[in-house]
Amino acid sequence: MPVEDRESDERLMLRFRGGDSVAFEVLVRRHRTPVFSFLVRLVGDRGRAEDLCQDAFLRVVKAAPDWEERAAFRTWLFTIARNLAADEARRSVFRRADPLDTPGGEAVRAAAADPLPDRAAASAQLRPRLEAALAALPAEQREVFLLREHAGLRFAEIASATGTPENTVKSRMRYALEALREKLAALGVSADDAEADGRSALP
Amino acid sequence: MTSLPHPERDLVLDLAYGELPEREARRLRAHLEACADCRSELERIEGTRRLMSALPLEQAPERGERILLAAAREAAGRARPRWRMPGWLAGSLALAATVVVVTVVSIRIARESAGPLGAGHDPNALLPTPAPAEARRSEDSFAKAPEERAVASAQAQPPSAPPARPSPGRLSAPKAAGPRYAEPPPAVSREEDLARRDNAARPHDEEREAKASLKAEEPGLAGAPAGAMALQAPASSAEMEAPRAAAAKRAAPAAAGGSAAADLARPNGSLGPAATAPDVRTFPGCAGESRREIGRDAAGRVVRYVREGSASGRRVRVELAFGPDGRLVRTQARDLDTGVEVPGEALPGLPRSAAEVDPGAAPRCGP
Repeated sequence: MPVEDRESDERLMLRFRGGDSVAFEVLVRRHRTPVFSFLVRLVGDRGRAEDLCQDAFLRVVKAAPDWEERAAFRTWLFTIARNLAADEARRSVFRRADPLDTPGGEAVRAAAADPLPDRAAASAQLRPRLEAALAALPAEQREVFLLREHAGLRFAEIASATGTPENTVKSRMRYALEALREKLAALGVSADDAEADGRSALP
Repeated sequence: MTSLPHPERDLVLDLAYGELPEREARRLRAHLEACADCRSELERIEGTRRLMSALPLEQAPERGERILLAAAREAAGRARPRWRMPGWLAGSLALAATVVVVTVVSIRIARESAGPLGAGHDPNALLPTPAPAEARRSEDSFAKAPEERAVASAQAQPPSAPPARPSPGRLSAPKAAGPRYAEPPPAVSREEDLARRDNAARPHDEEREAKASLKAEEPGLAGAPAGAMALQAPASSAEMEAPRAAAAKRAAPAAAGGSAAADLARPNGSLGPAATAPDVRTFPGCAGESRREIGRDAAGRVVRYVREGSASGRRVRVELAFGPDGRLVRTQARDLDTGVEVPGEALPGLPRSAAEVDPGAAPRCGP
């Protein structure tokens, strides 16, 4: 394992600021997929997520000369990605004046059209069910859920990233978890499916 | 679930996500023993998290990585030889300027006080005199009549003192912006060119290109992570004033326009400054909108929108500032030629919120 792989994001960022592009390479390899994954599920469109992901990292490149170690890199990166997505969503809503064209719009419609599977098939189709449940969440709940579960931001960090009071963030998180639970139940996904998968999200 | 009041349910959520301080966590766990509602709330949260954790990450497409690494190599290459004027150098340049000013002034004084002949060509008068005090001393050595000496020092003092003071300011203030601003935009590297072509089909391409060339022009203006971390907090006034002043200088070469721009450059503490290099577009030949500038904070939110253009026969610069929530918080419009403030709606079709800011919108070239 190369030395770089054990270095903290913040140290790598400092090295990149000093002109070491290998350090940035490590950061990209470490975070590009999580950021992309976050964006795909946030905006519900691969092409747009790809663009936004690129933009987010290009912003990191641009901001590197002024990077200081007191900032948590991961939080910063996901905040950039989130804000780019939010900006773009606002712009496209304004441009097209199409209320359906909100982030995740396509995915939500696709999920709604999905037929309910029978229980035997449910386990095999676990992933699409989970995606559908997530896509069915209102955008602001999905955003909080993803920032917490995928990006690993703390509630206070999510609050500042989204410009929302922390108690609102927590309410959204609770609504999101509750809605997911209900949706998954409706889609025939039970706790057994997760056990079969053999993984736990808990630390 | 509904039986639990809100604060407690937030506590259960905190516990589930490990965000509760240890002492509180212990207290809540003790409470959970006795409270079936809280227990089932926690179980529901954990069960849903367990289910959702089966969702794997979406793999990012390969091709994007190459583009990013190329951009990073290019930026890193620029970072190394990048030249910032260090503080000591700015300081010594200021000192040198002072010496020059004092020398010139004292030579002139020496000539005047020495009369029409002789002392004007006295080699002593040409000696460099590094400080005003010394300048006066050297005048004294000419042993003139007292009243003449008084005139000489009266002349010596005003010109030497004030120019000496502004010059260090003028030299050290652009320490941050000056040299960088002066940097010529580097030639597009093959890699970056490649990166752009890769994105050729994208609507953002033009925007990116503009950003890329701006990056070259004002590399130091890129979002300060500290600002990004504070998210809502504006960067320090020093950080924001320099880029705006630089932008203003570029935008308004006319004296009046310059002063108006300088006014606009004054930071408004409550506003998120544009922390990243602004996205600037110019539309030559378009009277209604000759220039458009969009500033974002380090987190990518649009916080500033500037448009210059002609309306009703006058050239106007409108600056809009948006809060972190995207709402319009300030409008300022000035006549570029007179520097006089004009109504905010001087230009038609201004965005009313950050959401309406569209970097790619067609310029409004009408009157």
